[in-house]
Amino acid sequence: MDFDLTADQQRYREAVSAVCAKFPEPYWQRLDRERRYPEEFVRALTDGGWLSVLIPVEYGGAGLGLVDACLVLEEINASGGNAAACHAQMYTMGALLRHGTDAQKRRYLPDIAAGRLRLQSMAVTEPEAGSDTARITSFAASEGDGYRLNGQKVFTSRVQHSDLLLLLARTRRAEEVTRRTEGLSLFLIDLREAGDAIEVRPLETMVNHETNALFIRDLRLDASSLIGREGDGFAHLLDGLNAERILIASESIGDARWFVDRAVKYAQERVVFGRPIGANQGVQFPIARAHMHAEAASLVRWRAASLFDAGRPAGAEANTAKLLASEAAWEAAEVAMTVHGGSGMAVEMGIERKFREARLYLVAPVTNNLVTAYVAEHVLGLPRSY
Amino acid sequence: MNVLVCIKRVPATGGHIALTPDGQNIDTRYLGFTISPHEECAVEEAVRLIEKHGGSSTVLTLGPEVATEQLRDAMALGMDRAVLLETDGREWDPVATTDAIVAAIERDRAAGRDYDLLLFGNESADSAGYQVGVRVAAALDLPCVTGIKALEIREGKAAVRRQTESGWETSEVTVPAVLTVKEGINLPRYPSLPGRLKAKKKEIERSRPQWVDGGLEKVRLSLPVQAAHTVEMLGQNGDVGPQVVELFRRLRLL
Repeated sequence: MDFDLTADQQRYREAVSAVCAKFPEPYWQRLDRERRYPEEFVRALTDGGWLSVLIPVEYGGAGLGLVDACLVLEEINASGGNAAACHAQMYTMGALLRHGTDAQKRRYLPDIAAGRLRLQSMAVTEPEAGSDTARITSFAASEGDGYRLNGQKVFTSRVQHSDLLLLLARTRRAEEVTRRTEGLSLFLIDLREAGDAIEVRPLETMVNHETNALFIRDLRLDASSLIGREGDGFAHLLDGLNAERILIASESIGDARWFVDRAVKYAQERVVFGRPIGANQGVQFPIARAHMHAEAASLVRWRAASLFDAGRPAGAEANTAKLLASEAAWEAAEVAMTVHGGSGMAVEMGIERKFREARLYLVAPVTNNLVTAYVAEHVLGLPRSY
Repeated sequence: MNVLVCIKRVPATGGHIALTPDGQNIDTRYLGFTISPHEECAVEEAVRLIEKHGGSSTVLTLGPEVATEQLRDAMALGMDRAVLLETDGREWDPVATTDAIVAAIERDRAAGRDYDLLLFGNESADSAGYQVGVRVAAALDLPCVTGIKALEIREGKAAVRRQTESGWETSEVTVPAVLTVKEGINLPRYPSLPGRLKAKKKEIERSRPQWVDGGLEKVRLSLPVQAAHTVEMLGQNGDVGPQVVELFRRLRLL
């Protein structure tokens, strides 16, 4: 067993950290205040090639593995930033890479790698279908040599800062198929050509994260918009979910590192009753425990990413990593808040911003309850609980 | 145009510096290494010159095998070719270093590669000798401007600017020339991931120079004594006026 990063990976980490250092705390606070998308930050990462880590060399990317992609996202969050603004490009691209035709890949991937085209948005969830994806009702009816799409999506993130949208819709009604997960298809939609057929209504949330409700009326799609086989969209989507979970786990681990660093620093500096508050077990033990939990989550995450890169099944590890990492980040967030006392509430400290952001991953992109149900059922062989 | 940049692998600045017990070296066990900051700017300047005027850029270092890390970093920023003058790890003084660099430049010249510009850092971040650039210029009988903070190539000449206490000093120098660069001339870019991947695959040309005697001999290093700062509170509010006046008198300010 080798737990060390390679020399190259160490340097990637340092390089991403150097890019992030150009975007310090005041930058993220200003964005948060103005509810603005981190355009400059995403541009800097794109220009550095850091969002094209997973795109194969033949399409202009770096052709590296998920381990390397994890390093990038972890470092962004560990620096105090928020990778949620740009992480989707990494895993959304996977559906195109694995299931797209050669022509589709040649058409889109080189431009995505070069930063000329943004694939940052994915629309699956609908108001009446959250975790129960098979209940979605958006429908792409066959018409001529293409489709006509109608429906509604919710919590579709970054659609205002993306050129392409990966969307899941039914191509056969639920009542026409034997299994509910059949009859769903994946489409890659060029938002620049969608015109009025897609209405975007921004949803305000407690974090500075662009997310929207989409109303789609009579959007005409060419046959070339279909990714993979018609009717197999759900299976195509599932293929990519492990990568998504491992990447999101990496962001949570980055968050946990940031909270622990900040808590340690404050506990050493803040003097009350004549000594640093970190000298008290009541203060230092929770920080140490949060650190240990983050380290444990990180190990499972590396195991999951290594399995994924080796092309081996990684469902159990990816799910475990996602749950442990998001919980470790939330524990660290709590600890950092407590260690800072009243100051933790002060916006200028930055703790409350990260606190709000870290909360998201207990329920997204998959709720930890469903992660637990997956492990109970598929790893431990217990009866399905929902 | 052809540009040569000479760089040095140095311990990352900003960290706590400790010495080895014999006082001969900096204890680098816990330190990271980097390209000396003035030289990183020289690399950036070379990459920009080649982007603008075309040609080829070479980065050279004298140091142990591990210094290939810094050569690859420079190639990741856009340098085309790298040369390692490999040493056994001991520190070479400016005389021996100059001799090795001059020999390498002459070998390149014999192979048909003439340099229009030879860029150095104004001084290295570790030993700060300010010598190698000037000595190379003298050995090759080339003009030399030190400490430049702006550079432009105009009609076959290098227009350079140095910052002085009273303003800017502008001069023009015929090429080929040696220029030693100061931080601030530009803001070096961050190496991109594609840049790094390309740099990984590039060949590094290697040779083993011979040490020549006659330079400085290091006796030992010693850390600067940390100046002790004392703060004395004379009192509060306006009632300390007389004491302040007395202090000024003692310091002969009054």
